[in-house]
Amino acid sequence: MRINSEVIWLVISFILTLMVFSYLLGDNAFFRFASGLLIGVAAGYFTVVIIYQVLITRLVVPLMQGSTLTLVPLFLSGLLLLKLSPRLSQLGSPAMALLVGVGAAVAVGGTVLGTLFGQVKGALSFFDPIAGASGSMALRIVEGIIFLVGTLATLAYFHFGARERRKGEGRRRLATISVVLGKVFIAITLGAVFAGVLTAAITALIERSDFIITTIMSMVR
Amino acid sequence: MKIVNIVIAIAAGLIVLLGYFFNSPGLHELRSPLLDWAVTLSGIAGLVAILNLVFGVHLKRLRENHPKKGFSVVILISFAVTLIAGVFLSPASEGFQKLVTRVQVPIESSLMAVLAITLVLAALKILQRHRNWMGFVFFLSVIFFLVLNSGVLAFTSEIPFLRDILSGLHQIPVAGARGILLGIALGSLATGIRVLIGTDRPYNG
Amino acid sequence: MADIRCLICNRVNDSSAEHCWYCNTILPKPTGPLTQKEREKLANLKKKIAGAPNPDPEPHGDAPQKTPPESPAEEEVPDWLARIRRLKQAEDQGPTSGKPDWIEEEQPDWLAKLSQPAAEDTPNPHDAANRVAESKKPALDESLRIRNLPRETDEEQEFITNLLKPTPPIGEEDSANSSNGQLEPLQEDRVDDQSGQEFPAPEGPNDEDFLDVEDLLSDKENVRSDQKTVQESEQVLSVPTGKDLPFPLFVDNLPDWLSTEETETKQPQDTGDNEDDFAGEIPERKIEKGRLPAWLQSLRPGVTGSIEKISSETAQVREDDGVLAGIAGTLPGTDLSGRVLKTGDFTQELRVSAAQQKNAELFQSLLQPTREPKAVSADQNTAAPSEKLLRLFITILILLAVITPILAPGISAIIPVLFPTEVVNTLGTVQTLPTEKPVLVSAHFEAGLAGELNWASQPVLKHLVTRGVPLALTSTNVVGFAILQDMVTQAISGDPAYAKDKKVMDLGYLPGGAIGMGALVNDPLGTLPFTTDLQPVREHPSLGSLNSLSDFGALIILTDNPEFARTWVEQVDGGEADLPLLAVVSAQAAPLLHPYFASGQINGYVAGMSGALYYEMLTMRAGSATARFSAYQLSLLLVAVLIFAGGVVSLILAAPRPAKKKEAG
Repeated sequence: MRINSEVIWLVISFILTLMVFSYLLGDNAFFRFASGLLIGVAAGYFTVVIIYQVLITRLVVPLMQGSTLTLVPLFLSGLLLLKLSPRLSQLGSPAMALLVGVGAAVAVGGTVLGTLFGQVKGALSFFDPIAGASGSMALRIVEGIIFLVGTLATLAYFHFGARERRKGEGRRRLATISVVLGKVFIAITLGAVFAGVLTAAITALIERSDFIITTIMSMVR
Repeated sequence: MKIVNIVIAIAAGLIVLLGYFFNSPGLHELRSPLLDWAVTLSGIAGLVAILNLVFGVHLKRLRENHPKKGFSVVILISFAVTLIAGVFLSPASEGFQKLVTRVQVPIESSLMAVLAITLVLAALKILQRHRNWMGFVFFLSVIFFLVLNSGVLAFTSEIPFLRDILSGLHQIPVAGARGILLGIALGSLATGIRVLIGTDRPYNG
Repeated sequence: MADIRCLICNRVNDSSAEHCWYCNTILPKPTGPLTQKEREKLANLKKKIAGAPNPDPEPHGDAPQKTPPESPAEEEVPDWLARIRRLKQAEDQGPTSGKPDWIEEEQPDWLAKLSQPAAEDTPNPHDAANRVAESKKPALDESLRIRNLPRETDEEQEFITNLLKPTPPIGEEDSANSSNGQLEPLQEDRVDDQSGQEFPAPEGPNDEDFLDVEDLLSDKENVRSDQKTVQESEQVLSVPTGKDLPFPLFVDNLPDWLSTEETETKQPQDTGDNEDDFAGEIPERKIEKGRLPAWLQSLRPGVTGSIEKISSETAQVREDDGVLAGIAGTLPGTDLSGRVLKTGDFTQELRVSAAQQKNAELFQSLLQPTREPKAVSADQNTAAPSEKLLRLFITILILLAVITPILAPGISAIIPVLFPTEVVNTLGTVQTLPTEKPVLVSAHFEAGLAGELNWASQPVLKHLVTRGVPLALTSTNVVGFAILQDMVTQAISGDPAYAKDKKVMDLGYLPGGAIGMGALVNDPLGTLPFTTDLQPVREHPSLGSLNSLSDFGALIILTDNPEFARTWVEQVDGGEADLPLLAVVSAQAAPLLHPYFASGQINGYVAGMSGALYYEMLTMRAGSATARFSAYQLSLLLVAVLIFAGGVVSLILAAPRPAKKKEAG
């Protein structure tokens, strides 16, 4: 009888799923074996992908094609590999510096042009008469004010308004109000996020359960 | 040596950053290789991390006869098998990809499924641990959005008043999320600028 | 000018000397002019020394006049040397039958006593010592007055009196000396502490002429052996003269300690227990008892001058109680009854001051985290039985809610009627995509949520496949790279007309996260030059003409992490790429992605199983989301109910606690 490879993989997946589900009964060797297997396979797969997708495609092939500029990343990659040695790890600092500098620039540029400009524009779009031409302008303005206040209160809670001010009752009250409002919006937002996490986890449970039942039923048939 | 690192970081960072604001062919010529090199180095950095995990941690446990060496044995064997299979089969082969899709996906999905029950158990005790008004608001918000995600409130679409209320309540997290995103953006902006001006030097060790 | 007597060692120094030659203390200087009588006396002395009587006193004594030298040679000789020579001459000449008048006239009392026969018996050596001290006092006062020195206070008098008291015999002296060291001979070079200059050693007597106390101490044994043969101890310490003089002795300036030796040796034998011993030990040979200079003796703690007193006291003390009961002659013990020995309060409590407490509180407030993490027990076996039961109960309930609709497909769910705007927009965007431009699909998710993302992305991918849109696949994480392939394969499996080899290009793994995204936006083909089959991308018919990201038909992000969706949005907006941006995300990423949709940075997104259901309903293609929506709805409702019940129970259980606390308080 020729055993289909797909069946073998199916059986392997089924057994591994049950091994992990056994954690519901308590920590055991099966669960730990499955965890170790996961780490090893993931590490091995990652190494293979890096070798093929980075080392070969980005270093070896361009060098073979005569690209002299590739010598720079090759040299820097060699320096970075020295990070594995405690004594020579300092030599990998220039490569890390390049990585960190470029990463910081990418983050700064994207943040400024992507999030800051875009989100501020989005917060003010409620007050745009042209964009709100289709609906009720008053309602949009009310919505806009609510969302703007919520955004500012959340921002204020995280960065500016959490500390008490000493001078003047007025500023203190304003900070207190913004803190309270910010807390309300954050609590609602985090509640929505947690509900989303629960939803995703339940979906994963449904998917795994579906897989187990489907596998069992296919084996029974 | 440290000054060289600082110069490299700042120079490379500034060239890349300027490319976001100025569209110049010369700048593009300088910027593209830097981004390309950084992409390559990111991959190598990931490789360094994996090699350190395998050889620096788990292989060391075997040599030192660590109590948890059984766990390390499983990791090392599975790593070796996967590596050899991948080198011979290549990542594009379906057979090698099944190693991921049939081993890694079931295990991680199952872990996520088990996590669902753990999360539910933790959610039962929200008010037990956080007995304040913020915890109460969080508690109500979780329940509301769970019900909303389930789609049970679909009947409200036929009631305009309820529909508008639900629509408004559905939009409230947007304001909070926007504030959170702006806060994250400001934080990452500050961190990035600190690196670009040389105040923070995480690369100097 | 008159010689200066040192107040410490009581030795005479030259008038021009600033420091005592013997003990190096600063000599007192005459503060005022001499009196008439002093001048007369001085003049007489000088005359007599010079050998020419000159009874005429000097009218004024402001400037003391020096006696003219007899010869020019004598002018160069210092006065003290001249005196030494004269004394030697006197000694060579032999003892005179009669003493010069000036000697008799000016003879101090102590000298007179020395020349007298054995002094009277003193029943009490202590009284004798006091008498000697008292007798010396006028002389001392006289000498002080001569020098115009300020009269000492009573304390000083007492001190001087004690100095003048006889010292104990050699035996006692040795024990005292051994504790304080021996008398050091004079140093040849003295150093002035104030000026730092070294004064040349005076050409005075040689060291060998000085009394060697060590020799005295070494003779102790000899003395003691001699003492046994001594019947009577009435010996007068005769003043050595002439060649027997151990040091240049100035007759008129004989120190008091030398004169008091006479009284010491005349102590009777039957004086008691205390002093009899050393009194009986007085050697036959008159050995000068080693006496420390006053300045050194003053350093000795409570020994000087008080030994006799202690001895007399101890002789009378007789212990009545204690270990030494019935024994006399012991040192009186101190009455400790009144002394309360209180040990320190050694408590284990840390004593801190108010400032330290304040600083500690400040540190604590700085280091204290805003929310203290509560330790979670990782070992479930240590959980309480009630916790285990609750866990088991919840697990069974949820599994039932999940499995039951799967096993019983008849259970229908409440299907929503209204569709979210984001899903509708996604549908509209996909529907309007040009079929000649490839769509870049970028994945970044973990294997844990691969199932949900697979269910969520299938309707969208199938829609694209149905429309025949080419797909370019890439992944910014390694796992997503393999799973995405599987997803697309699954989507294509339903449409045989879609040629995977031509329509699907796997560009592989894009490392670097945000850096990779930025590089891809900047130069897509330069960033991903090869497919996973190591085929050049530029040679592909669909992708060969691409120069920038804007050349793609759309960018679809598949992610479970809102962070990567945000990064993609930022890089696309930052790179000013003009292409539709769609997202297929997990339900957990939807709340943080919606602001980007609200601001128009994302054209649309599909979130989780509910979004997939909406999309399937809109495209009228039933899929996994439709099939499993009842399990999804039932389990979510169950979880909502469980959380609500848990909250209510927590509130009910929490209510009586404040009352209990009050009762306890």
